[in-house]
Amino acid sequence: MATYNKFEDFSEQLCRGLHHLHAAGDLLRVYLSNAAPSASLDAVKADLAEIAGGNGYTALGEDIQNDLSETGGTTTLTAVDVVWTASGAGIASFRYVAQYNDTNASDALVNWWDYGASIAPAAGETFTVNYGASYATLV
Amino acid sequence: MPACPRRPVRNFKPGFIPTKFFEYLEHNQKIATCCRHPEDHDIEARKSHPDEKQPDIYIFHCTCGLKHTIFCVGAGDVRPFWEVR
Repeated sequence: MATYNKFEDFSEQLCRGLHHLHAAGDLLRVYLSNAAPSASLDAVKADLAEIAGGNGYTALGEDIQNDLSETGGTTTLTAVDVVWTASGAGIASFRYVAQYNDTNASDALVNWWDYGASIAPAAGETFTVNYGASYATLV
Repeated sequence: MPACPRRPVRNFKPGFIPTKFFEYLEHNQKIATCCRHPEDHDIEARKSHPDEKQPDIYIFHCTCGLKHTIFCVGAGDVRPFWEVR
């Protein structure tokens, strides 16, 4: 799987009770960026530029329907796969897939993944984020 | 970076490519009819970083020339890998 990159501020804010990652808690969104994230400097969504909305990409990103479960002291974070379909024209170039807490007043960042290169789906093309069985675990 | 070469989906045994990958396209009413038939596509696999042990990017190439990309960011799912000899 692509490497999970944590924004450093996330761990502190998690312990301060800012994030409630269960389904009945906060709403997390996934969004696309073509700006290189900084683990240490980026803390809220405004710190990491989002691509322009339009052509199948809605600004603010998509609800990942986050949830969690716990077994034997390990908490597993889950989400529902997201599919973007470019329509009319292409989706703006992006390289990074980032997540933030939309319920939080500051839109606190959670993590990101690096696609490895910029990509710009053309009209009629799709880009899917496959979360698998889980996207992160806390032990 | 390339991980597995492009080859026709039909050349794989049933079940080798995760069913979910097909469903992303088959259930998407926003794409062209031909794009909703991944069994007619080619597929290639890539890695987002050289250190990745398995491919984490799969790209379906439709006969119309359009591409459909799946970026695998989670754990616990199947990541098929193939070679062409």
